Amino acid sequence: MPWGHAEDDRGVSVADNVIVTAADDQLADIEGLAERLRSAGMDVDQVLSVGVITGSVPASRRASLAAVHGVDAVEDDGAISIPPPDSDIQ
Amino acid sequence: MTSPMMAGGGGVPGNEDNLVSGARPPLTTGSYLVVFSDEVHGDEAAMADAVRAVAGVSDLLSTSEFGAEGIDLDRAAAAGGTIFPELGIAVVAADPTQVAGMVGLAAADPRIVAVEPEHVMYAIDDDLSLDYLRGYRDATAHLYDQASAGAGTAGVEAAARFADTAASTWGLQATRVTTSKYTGAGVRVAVLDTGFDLENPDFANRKIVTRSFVPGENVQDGHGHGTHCIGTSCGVAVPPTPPGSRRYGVAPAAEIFVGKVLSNAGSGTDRNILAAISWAISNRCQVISMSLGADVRTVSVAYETVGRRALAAGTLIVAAAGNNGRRREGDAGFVGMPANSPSIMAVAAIDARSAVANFSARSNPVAGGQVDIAGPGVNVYSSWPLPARYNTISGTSMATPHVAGIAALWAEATGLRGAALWSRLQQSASRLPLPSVDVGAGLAQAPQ
Repeated sequence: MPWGHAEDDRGVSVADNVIVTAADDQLADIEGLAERLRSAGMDVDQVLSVGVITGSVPASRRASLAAVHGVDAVEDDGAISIPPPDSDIQ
Repeated sequence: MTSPMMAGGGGVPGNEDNLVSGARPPLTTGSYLVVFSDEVHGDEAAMADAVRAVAGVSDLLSTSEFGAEGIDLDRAAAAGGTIFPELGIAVVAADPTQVAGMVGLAAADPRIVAVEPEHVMYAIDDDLSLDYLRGYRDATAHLYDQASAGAGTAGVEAAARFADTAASTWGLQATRVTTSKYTGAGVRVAVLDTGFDLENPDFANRKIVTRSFVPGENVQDGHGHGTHCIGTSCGVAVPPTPPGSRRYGVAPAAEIFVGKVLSNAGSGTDRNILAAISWAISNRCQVISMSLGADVRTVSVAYETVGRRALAAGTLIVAAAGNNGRRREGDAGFVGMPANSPSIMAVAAIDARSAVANFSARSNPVAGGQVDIAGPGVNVYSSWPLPARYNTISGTSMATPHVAGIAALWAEATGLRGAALWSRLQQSASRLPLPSVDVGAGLAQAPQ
């Protein structure tokens, strides 16, 4: 899983790739939530209008993301895969 | 009290539509139900005009006159007819000599959908006693044993068997796509998968919008899975000749949105799938087809939230239940993520004999983790990247685009979106003699 973990720029801890789900009342100002997440230590990658923000956060600061106002959930960015093309069952 | 069956009083037996011998014939009240079209439904004056025109009834009551207390049954019984504006139905008294004329006039009147005799209803426990039902159960069990003796399960599984023909795949026949008059015209279907073979001649002149969410890879399908799924959901009605092919696509006029979320090696990440869902919603796609998943039991907050917001925005997401079943070995598997989200429709796979596919995942006990519907998913023929051009493979991945394409046909036929479209798909599914934990509401069926 090449996307699983990466070292942060100081190399002292690993970073988790995370999916942050915004509460319904944050949809009108999703950028505002993204800014609060940055302040809490998240390296924001994508801000999706459907109300999801993706990026990475040092493992040591992950817990603080869940406490940010307007956050419904912080989950791992998982991997999904399908079998190779010559497989009978796809 | 708004039950229309009470309004006519009477109790005149009408034996013309007799049931099988032994069953009690239905009783009719001597009154008739007039069912109005959607155009006049709710318009009390228009409904009254229509009743006067076809039934010649002048003394009409409307339930709107009675307010919150409900209808006055004595007054209703004395009137020539009662209109239920909120139901779009009227109950009209008619003597037998008037009925033929009323039915004839109604058939030619676009304001009226149907005229039906009003039946007397019974609560089942009124006279179907437990003793009677027990005897009925024993008798049917006896018949079942006799019919199935020596025939294995063949006696029960009288379910339809389909086969690919020169004209169409078995799956399009089983879902009644081949006889549907709908094409998905005006409906946008997003297929989030391994991309698409942009050179495929079967899709020449189609309106296709593409975007890759896989870093470093363009939309061109280097796997085949995505091209196969797009072929099933949106493939052409008559594949070009040469080489010629049977029909394999459900919604040949749908607008195709290709979101590449799985790499050519067949893998992807939640973040890119979620980004593609957001893109499809922003593009007002009415249907999103996702033949992908992970063998994770717990529901993802992100997928469930996005599925719910998608439905609210008029976008229905259908996803593969998963292929982790090994039923012949006694393991039915479980619906994985993201199909286990309550707001994402989970699709199981059946074969051409209407049996659950060996690999098709069973409902997962988490809330929302159930199989919602089934589609053809064994030996499914569809498009494939050149030079092969066509390929036959199996999986809940193949069942999912059948359902997505059929959703597009229903979206076109009814204008329904989101949760209402979901309901219509389940209502119209053909029930199967199989556990609902395996096939949900049954096999998806195209509108006719």
